Amino acid sequence: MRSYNRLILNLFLLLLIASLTFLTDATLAALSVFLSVSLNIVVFRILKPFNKFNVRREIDKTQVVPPAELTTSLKIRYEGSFPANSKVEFSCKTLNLDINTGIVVFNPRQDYNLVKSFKVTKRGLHKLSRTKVTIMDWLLISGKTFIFDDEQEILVLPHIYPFTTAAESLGAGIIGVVAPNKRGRSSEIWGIRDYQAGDEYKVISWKAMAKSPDHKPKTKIMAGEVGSAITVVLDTGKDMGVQNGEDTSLDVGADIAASLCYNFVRRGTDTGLLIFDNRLRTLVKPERGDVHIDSLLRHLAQVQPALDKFIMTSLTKTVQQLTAEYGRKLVLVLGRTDDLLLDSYIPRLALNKDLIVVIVHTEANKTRAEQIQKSAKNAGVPVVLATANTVRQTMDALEKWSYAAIARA
Amino acid sequence: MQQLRELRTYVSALATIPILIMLANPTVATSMSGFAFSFPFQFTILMLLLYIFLWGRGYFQRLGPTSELLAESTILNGPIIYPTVTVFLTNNASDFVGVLLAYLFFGVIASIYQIVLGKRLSATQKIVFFVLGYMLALITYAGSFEGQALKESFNLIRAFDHISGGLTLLGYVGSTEPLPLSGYVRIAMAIAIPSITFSALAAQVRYTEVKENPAAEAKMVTSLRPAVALLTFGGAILMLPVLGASRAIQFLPYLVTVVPALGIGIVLLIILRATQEKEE
Repeated sequence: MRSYNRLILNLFLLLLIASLTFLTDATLAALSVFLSVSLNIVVFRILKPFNKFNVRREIDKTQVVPPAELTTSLKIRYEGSFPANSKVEFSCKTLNLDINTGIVVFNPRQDYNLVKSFKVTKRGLHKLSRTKVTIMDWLLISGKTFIFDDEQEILVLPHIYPFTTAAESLGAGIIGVVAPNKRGRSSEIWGIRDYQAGDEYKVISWKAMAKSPDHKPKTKIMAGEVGSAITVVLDTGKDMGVQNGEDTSLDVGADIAASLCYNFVRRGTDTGLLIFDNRLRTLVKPERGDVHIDSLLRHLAQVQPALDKFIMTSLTKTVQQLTAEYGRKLVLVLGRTDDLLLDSYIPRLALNKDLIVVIVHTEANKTRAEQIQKSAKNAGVPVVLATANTVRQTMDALEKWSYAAIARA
Repeated sequence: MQQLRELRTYVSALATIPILIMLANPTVATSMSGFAFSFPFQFTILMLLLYIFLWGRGYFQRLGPTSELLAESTILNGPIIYPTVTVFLTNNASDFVGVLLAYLFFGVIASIYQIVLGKRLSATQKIVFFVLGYMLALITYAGSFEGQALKESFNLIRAFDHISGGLTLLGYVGSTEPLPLSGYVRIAMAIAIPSITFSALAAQVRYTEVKENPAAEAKMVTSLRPAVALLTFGGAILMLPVLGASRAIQFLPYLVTVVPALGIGIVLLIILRATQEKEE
């Protein structure tokens, strides 16, 4: 039963009891309260203040890199002729944001501005709920609720760790062979690399092939040419959901993957992304450009730990099926360490890829991570260990590997 | 005290004037003094004070639900057991009446406290305490007055006759004398009715505010005072038809409260129901 129905009926019952005692004074007192409460409800239904509210919500940024401060403003205008009570609320559960004005008395033609700033540190896609406005009668007994269709999303991107060498510097451009200011193809030969399936016939260096001891075909690297693509693989299996410092291992992994993608693309390298748990979840083809960076970061901002564990054998199979456009260089950001097949499958994956593995670990699986690192090292695969506190150092190691990988090519 | 900073506390105090007129007068004082030195009266007062002391310290809440019920019942009902036995054994009701008078007195004081300082009460609870306080004060005063007229300290049967109006329609013959202070009480009601109305409406606003935000300061939204005052005035205006109807049915004086008050109440209930259906 609605609260005001219950109240009115209770008051009427009291009026009935008082009137049956024939006590005029007590009856009139009960009647006066009964009439005033009823009048309040009738006036609310006649004046209809609920049709005279105009609410607009704005947020200054919808995509940020943490930590960032966001400001949301709520503008309410009441066009009625009599005062009205209202409360306005909206929330964002994932950001622990709960805005509730409480009951505010709006006077006719009054503007009400609520500005609220809040800090976002948590990666992900956060939904700001629709604004709910409840307009109540003068005695706050009954009310009408309106929900405005203004749901908004705030995309909090992973944290980006830039490479220590500036993108515009001469040496830095070599990841994608070319500095950003020299995009396009020219006749200038920058270097020689191994032939890859799909290379154009006219860029094969026959001279270099003849000079090489094994006489394998070589390809000329032209200044302005797009270098070999790099693909970043991120494990989003169940193990990535464990706490790692203040964040989860997946947050750490996403930060590393996002930083790599950002730095590679900013240096002109076609960069692809694989999001993988027990099977392929997302596949982004290697490309360059600001739009592509945005796409990669959006994907990484939204990844959540899966219910299933990461399966190395399944990844190996998937990687083997990738076409040449995904490049030879592969960065595997891994969280699962309890799979014994990792020791044999990492070298197997490295057979036809220039692989580096980043293991995001905690204190609990540190020994096992070191074990994997040792066995991979024996097979010639570099493994970098990362925790929430060593992301910067991990990025430095990955930067060195990136330049070395190009030199090898 | 937080409540003393609120306007509605003082307005609520005005509503207790008729109750105080009926309670604080020489007639009631004489009756009370007649029982003051009897053991059952003193024991009842002692137990009620003990109850208030323990209740104030939150002792009962700390017990489990069953133990709380048992402890409260023992303390509150204990004093009436012995006088009830004496009524059956000796046919002497003076101890019983003494205990009942103590209960009535405390009942009125508790009602006044709730009307003026009661926290977290809804409009219904506020007006219930007013009607209860009014009835208990009337019983106390009427019993004292009728008792003294019959050379007793307190007459219980005659006291209840004053609130037994509806029973007369079923054939009960009550014997009541006009009470000397009834004129003053009626005049005081002219102030008390709007006061209790304002107090009840303000209590309702505060009640909802506390429900919405329990940590908020116990203060009614200031901007709502004019609205509450306007509704109080509107309620008073709507009572004019009751006055007219009362005049029209003076040939049946006992029905003056029943027909006009309930009549307008029923009409309003129908209007509310109709507007609700239209809205839905």
